[in-house]
Amino acid sequence: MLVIHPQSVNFGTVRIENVTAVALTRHAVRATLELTDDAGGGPYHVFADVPEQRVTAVVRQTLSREDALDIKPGTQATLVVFTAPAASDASRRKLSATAVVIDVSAELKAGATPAALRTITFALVSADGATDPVSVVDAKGES
Amino acid sequence: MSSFKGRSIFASGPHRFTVGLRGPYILTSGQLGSPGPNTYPSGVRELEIVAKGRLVATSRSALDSLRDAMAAELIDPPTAGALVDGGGRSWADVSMIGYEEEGPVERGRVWSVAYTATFRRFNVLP
Repeated sequence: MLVIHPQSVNFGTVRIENVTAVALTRHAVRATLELTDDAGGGPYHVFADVPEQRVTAVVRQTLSREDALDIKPGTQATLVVFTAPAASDASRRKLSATAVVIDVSAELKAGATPAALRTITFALVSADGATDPVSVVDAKGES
Repeated sequence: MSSFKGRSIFASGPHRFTVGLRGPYILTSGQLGSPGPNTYPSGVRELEIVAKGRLVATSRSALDSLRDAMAAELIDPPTAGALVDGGGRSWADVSMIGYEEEGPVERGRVWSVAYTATFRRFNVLP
């Protein structure tokens, strides 16, 4: 899932400003692939499953002036992203997840209008290991 | 379709069979009480077949039933039956002597657990 120019991004009580994009990635930490002898066997896998997944959210900010936001790796809070295809309330959605900061990095750009790209990477965690860590709900009228 | 004693205990998931070391059992001089370089054949090794696979189910309780069915084949003293692999090859008079799970139960799209089941044809049935 990719959200370009979300309406707002909050991490716990902290509002993250100037977010240009939020990307959710899902990675198979471990995939189980199996061959079988049944029916004579062969070179192709007959079973594949992913018993271990990593879900990550990457929040990217573009900053043109100083910003005092200081989120530290290891911090856990609820990450909430509101998104809508237009400025109106129609089709507005709320994405939320329990998130732990695993990386905060910045790329500084020199020039006539100095800017910085800050990338915050969150590991999204499930409440019980079985429930998808990401919740996406209709957020019409919600703030 | 593979089976043991006519029961499809492997059918829930993928599995493969491997035949173990065959040939004479070798004793060394040292084992016979006189140190030296010589070795001596002492009978034929018992046939051993190892099945490695994965039990697969759509619920935890269904997977546990499959695990229990595997373990239920381990009886004391072992009794012999026919083991048939997926290619249709049959080994008569083998007993199941081991069932071991490799790692924890895994839950992805389905519930599954990897296993190793060991079968042996005793030269002298207990």
